[in-house]
Order: sequence, then C-alpha cells, then structure tokens
Amino acid sequence: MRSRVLGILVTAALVVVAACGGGPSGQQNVTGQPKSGGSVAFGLRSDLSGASLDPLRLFSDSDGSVAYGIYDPLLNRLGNKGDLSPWLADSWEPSSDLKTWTFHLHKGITFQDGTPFNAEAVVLNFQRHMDPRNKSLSLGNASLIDTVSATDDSTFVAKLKTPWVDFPQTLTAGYAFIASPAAIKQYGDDYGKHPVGTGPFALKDWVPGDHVTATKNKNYWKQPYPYLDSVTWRFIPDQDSKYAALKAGQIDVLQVATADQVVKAEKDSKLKVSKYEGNGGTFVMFNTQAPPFNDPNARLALSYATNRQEITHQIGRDRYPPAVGIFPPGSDWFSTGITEPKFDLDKAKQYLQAYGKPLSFKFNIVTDPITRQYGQVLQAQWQKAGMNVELNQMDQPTLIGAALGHQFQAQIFQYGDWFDPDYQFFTTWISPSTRLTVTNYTLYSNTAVDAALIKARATSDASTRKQAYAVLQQALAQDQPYVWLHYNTSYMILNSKVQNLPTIYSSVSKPFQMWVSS
Amino acid sequence: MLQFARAKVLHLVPVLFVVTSFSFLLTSLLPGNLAQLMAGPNATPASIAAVRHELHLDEPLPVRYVEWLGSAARGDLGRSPRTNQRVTDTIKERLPVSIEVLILATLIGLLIAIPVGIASAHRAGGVLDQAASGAAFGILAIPGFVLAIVLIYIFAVEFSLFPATGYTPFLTNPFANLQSFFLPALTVGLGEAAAYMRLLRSDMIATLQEDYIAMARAKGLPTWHILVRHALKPSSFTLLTVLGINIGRLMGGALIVEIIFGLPGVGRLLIESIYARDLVVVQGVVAFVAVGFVLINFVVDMLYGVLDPRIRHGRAVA
Repeated sequence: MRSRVLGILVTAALVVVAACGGGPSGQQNVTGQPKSGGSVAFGLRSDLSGASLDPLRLFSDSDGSVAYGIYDPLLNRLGNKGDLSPWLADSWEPSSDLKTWTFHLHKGITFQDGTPFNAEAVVLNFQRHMDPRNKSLSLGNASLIDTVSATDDSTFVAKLKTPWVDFPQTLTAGYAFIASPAAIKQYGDDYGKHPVGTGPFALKDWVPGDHVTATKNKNYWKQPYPYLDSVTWRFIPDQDSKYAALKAGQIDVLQVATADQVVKAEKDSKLKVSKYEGNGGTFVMFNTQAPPFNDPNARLALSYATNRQEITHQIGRDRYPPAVGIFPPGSDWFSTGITEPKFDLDKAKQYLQAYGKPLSFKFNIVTDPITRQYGQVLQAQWQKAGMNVELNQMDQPTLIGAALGHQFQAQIFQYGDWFDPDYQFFTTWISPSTRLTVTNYTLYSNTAVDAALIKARATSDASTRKQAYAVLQQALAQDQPYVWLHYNTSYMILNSKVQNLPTIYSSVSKPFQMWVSS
Repeated sequence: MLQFARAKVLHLVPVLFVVTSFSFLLTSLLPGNLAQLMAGPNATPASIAAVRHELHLDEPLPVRYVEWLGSAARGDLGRSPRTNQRVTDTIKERLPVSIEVLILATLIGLLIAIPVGIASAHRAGGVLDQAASGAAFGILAIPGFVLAIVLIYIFAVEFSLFPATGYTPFLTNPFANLQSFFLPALTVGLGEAAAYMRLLRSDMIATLQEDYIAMARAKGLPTWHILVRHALKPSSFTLLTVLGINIGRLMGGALIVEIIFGLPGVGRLLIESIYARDLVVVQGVVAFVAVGFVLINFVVDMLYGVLDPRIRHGRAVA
C-alpha cells in the first residue's frame, strides 16, 4: 500500500511493518496438514483508521488485515518475492502505450449477500473511488484513471490519463477490494458498518474500537479455503498489553512486533516468529533548499558520521539489516559499482571542513520511546564528528505536517515495503517544479533524475527501467538528500498452533489459507 | 433551594463559554496544515484547497467559532472528516465504556474507603490505621500504568482469571462484560480507594472531637451508631468534593487504563483523534467532557445543600 508512505511512519513504529508472504507458497514454520475448524484472533496495533470497512476508507495495516478477511482484491501478492498473482482477475494485459489495461475476471463468483460478481460491479467500485466527493483514501491513485468500463460480463477495462507501468501494483489493496454493489446501494452512507465482499469470511459482529469477528463464507469461490470457522481482529494499542494478550491466549497472532518482543518470543517454545525482510526504509531526510543542508557538504558530512551498524545493533537488536542506499543490495533494482557513503569519521570531518563553518541544526523526531532512542543514538554519533545537534520532539501528525510543509532541517522518516520502484519513488524524487507531487519532502530537484523517472514509468522493458533507476541510485548516492539507516523487516509473533500465515507484506495478514493444529 | 440552584445554573453559562472557546482556540492553534493532512498522501494542491473550503478553514477563526457554537448548542457537534461519522454518534458509541469504568471504579473505591476510613478514624494510630495508611501510601505511590501491567501479569497471564484486554458489551454477555471490566475498574478503584480513605479518615478524626459526639457517647449510644449515623455525614464533605471531581474526570475516560486494557472509551477516542488531527472530534469531545464535568460539579454543589442545611439557606460555612 503506497498510503503507508504516511501511514506507518514512525509510530511505535520504527517498529516495522510486517509483511506477509506466504500464500500457497511462502508460508513459514508450518507443521502438520490443513485441518478445518477452529478460530484465530489477530492482535492489531490500532483501531480501523476510518472506523469503517468501506473500501473508500481503508488505509493502514490494521484496515488491510481486516479487509483481506472480508474482501478479495483484484490481484494478490503471494509467494516470497511479492510478485503479483491472479485473484479476482485471472489475467491482465496493457495496451502497447501502457495506458489501457484489460482485466479478465474470474467467473462464477458471488458476493456474500448472493449478488453476482462481474465487471459491472468492478466498474461501480472504481467509480466510487474516482469521484472526489467520496473522499476515497485511494483517490491519489484513482485520480490517475481516466475512465473505467465493462466490455462484457467478465472483462474490465481501465483507461489511464498517462502511461503507467506500475498500475497493477496498486491493485492488491485499497480501491482493488471489491464491495457488493447491492449492499452499497442498500446501506448508502452507512455501508462502512455493513461491509459485504466476496472474501473468505463474512462480518458477524463488530464492537467499534474493540474487535471485529467474521465467520466462514461457506460458498467461498476458492476451495478448499477457508479452513477456519471464524476469525477475530482485536485492536490493542498498547504494546505490552498486546504481548500479555498473546501470552494469555486471548490473541493468536501479534501483528507488528517490536525487536524486543521478537527477542523474547524466540526464547518461548509456545510462540513462533514470522518475518518478512522488506525493502521499506527508515532514514534521515534533509530539507535540501534551506540552510544548513542546502549545502551538499553538510549532508555528506552527516552521512559519513552516521554509524548504521550501531543503530541496528543497539535499537534493532540486529533484527533489521543496516541500509546501504535506496535499493537493498539483494534487490533486482540494485546497480553495483556505485559508491554509497558509509560510516567514516575522517571523511565526515573532511566534508565538515569543506562546509567551512560550525554545523548546527535541529533534528525532528517523534516522541515515542523507540524513535527517541534513534534520536539519542544519532545525536551522540553526530556530536562525535563535531556537529551541534538539537533534538526536536513532536507527535507524529506534526512530523508529517512538517514534512509536507518542508518545515524542517533534518528529520527521521520511514516508508513501507514497495514492489516496484515507480510505486514508491516517483512522487518522492520527481522535482516539485513538475507539479506532479506534493510528497517530495526534501525538495530535491535534479533534471537527470526527472527524465529517468518519467522514462521508467512509461516503459515495460526491464533493462531500460533498470538503467533509469541506476541514474536515480547514482544521483542519490552523490547528493544524499536521505541518509538511509536500515531496511525494515516485518515481524509477527504467533501462537505455535497457528499454521500457514501467508508472507506478511506491509504488516498485513491474510487469513484465507490459515488453519490451527490441535 | 430553588434560588440556590438558579444561581448555580447562571454560573454554568460563562464557565461553559470559556471552556468551549479555549478548546476551540487551542485546537486551532495546533501546528501543521490540517487540510493537507486530511487530503491524504497523494493530495494535489487542488484537492487540498477543496478540503480547506469544506472544513471552513478558509474562514476567520471567530466566524468558525460562532458557527460551531451555534450548532453545538443545537446538539450538533459536526461530522468527523476522517470517519464521516457524527461526533455525537461516536461519543454515544464510546460513552458506555467510560461510564462503566467510572461506576465500577467508584464503587470499588467507596466500598473499600468507607469502612476502612471509618475504622481507621475510630482507632487512629492503632494497628489497623497504620496498616491501612501504609497500604494507601503504597498504592498512591504506584503509577496507574504500572499497577495495570502488574494486575494483567498476575490475573490474566499467570492465572487466566480475567482477560488482558478487550471489551464485551453488557447486553451481549453480562458476565463476560463484568469480567472484562474488573481489572481496569480495580486499577482505577484502588487508587481512588486510597485517596478517599485518607480524606475520610482525617475529616472523621476531626468530627469525632466534636462535643456532640462526646454527648452521644455519654448517652451510651453504640459505637457503630455514633460512627455511621452521627459522624459519617458531616465528615464526608471533602470526600464528596473529590468524588465529584474524579467522576467528572473519569467521564472523559480513564485514559491510561483505556489504552492499556484496550477499552474503546472516550479517553481513547480523544487520544486517537488528537493523533489523527481529527480536530472536529477533539473539539466535540472536549466540549462534551467539559459540560459533563461542570454538570457533575453542579450536582455535587447541590448535594452539599442536602448534607448541610446551612448552605441551602445561604449562610456561609467557611
């Protein structure tokens, strides 16, 4: 979910988003054979963000986890590398200009209320998101669509305003969860409280702020799923209580675990840990248009003074890999032969000298205990290089506000897992002067990067795209508008009887294939 | 009595006005561009402007305040831009949780405090008094969030007697409901018991020095009769005042307890809304809690009159 750019940010956060992989492949720690019956309770870290299960209002990892129980997306991300798999759509293809996308829908599916699922239903769902009056949280993506239509009962066509190779990547969540048109019509404004999808579980009981329970959809179109009789999602904001609830057997899956909880759970024979090594990142970003960090020497000095290893060791308990740059070295998009700054105090001092005056600045962080540790460790590292750092603590919305309004010198930030670079990085790095973005927080502006990003968006040729992203990687390594600290690994902790949790991309769980062993 | 009530009601008006204008002003002064946050991560300059207009952020502050106050007076606190739900509906959804914590915690507090307080005052300095005082100071010294975690560890994790978190509505299952409220109510109630007990004890010791108590003793009335019928009522003023303040405070939700025990009460609603910058809800909840607080203290003021006739006849006591 791209929305996580803001969504997950730094809450208890630097906690990391779990991603879930799995699926028919990609399960971790599975013992025994699938078995029908039983129930599983998930402990989510926050309430539904819009107090609603209307696809218009789905946004966070908690929303997504419940949505995967009740709805099905058009495409799904299964397996360990996050590749797209068919789901409600059996297959799809773009036109040669990447502007018209055709989806062949699976036939014979019905919604939980008996309404048939067809291309008309998909059109109606997309039109709701595209209408700005509905204030869909997927409006950013939906506004890039020009028209949607049903050419026959099982063919859905989306015409985009511009070529966009990455469009299918957005169809695994948010606006791609398809709701029953009959239920939308019946409940109107109140639909969010009466969600009806095609998913493996149908809503049974909902106590706002406490839990949602859904029971098995006996007519689920993808047999033999689901195995479980029922699923409950509990909203537990406090980390310690969530862990206590897991130990007490009130929940079976703890979503978005902290590094400390993972260390504890690894020693507990009744628990097991599920993880996904994602490519989302935690980083320090600079305002490149305001002093002192409008001077590249200041940014490079800071980057060389940052000991990433120490951060992941002290705070992350070695549960997250230290970052090198924008692309993790194992990524398909990583280009070798580009020098990225590493911890080197001598080099830091050289760049400080080139900067030519004492470097002092304010570093914005969030007030939660984990992020404060990042602030303190980084402050100590930078002071060692001779910089004068003042920590500026604020709550998360203020931090996001500062980012959007460019009211900062340096601040900590985070983004979730991405599956195609365009999806995550186009709006982050395209120059603000193009007026194609409001989320280029650093105000970074580089015409070579602009050209590369636009080229990579408008072609499906893998090697052309990789070359274009090498330009981005090179430019960012040289200019350091971000200092990447570490890549995010998602963790969930499970009761050991819980089996077959799919890989947890973006901290979202999917219950369709899970079962419990006796 | 009626005149006394009328005077009190007239006092309410300026208090409520000040409270609501402050809450409105403070939330308006919060940093960050609200429209930009509400417009979401993929906002365009045009969509931000649309949100600004819709939230009336393009109008001057006094105009917005008067508009808001006008609809608030008619019982309309607006709709949350985040959930599109009416603020009054959201409060109605969350209020039963906070009220139940309030009632159960107050009951636990009073059930412990009154007997222990009376007994301690009766034999001030005795073994029971010293033990009770020691326990009270111990409990007062433990922060609520520590007490909550300790109770969870003992009663939920080790003995599995009560759930660690969560909430079952009373009408769904009364037994499970009381089970889910026991630990949170105990966390709040223990702290209150300690405070109430100390208050009642010291007032009662003073009352027991009064001449009419010596008179009652001289008449040979039984000790329990003197303590409960003669001494308790005049000793309960401070207790009542603090009780009123506490109940008013708990109406706004026992914040820490609601977060730790995962109870969907008013306090958690307020915190979540602050973090989401859902200022419409924040203003609505603050106004609601302020009005509730003022009204409860109004009731407490009226109860003084019941406890002490001198007050309702307008003769000052102190």
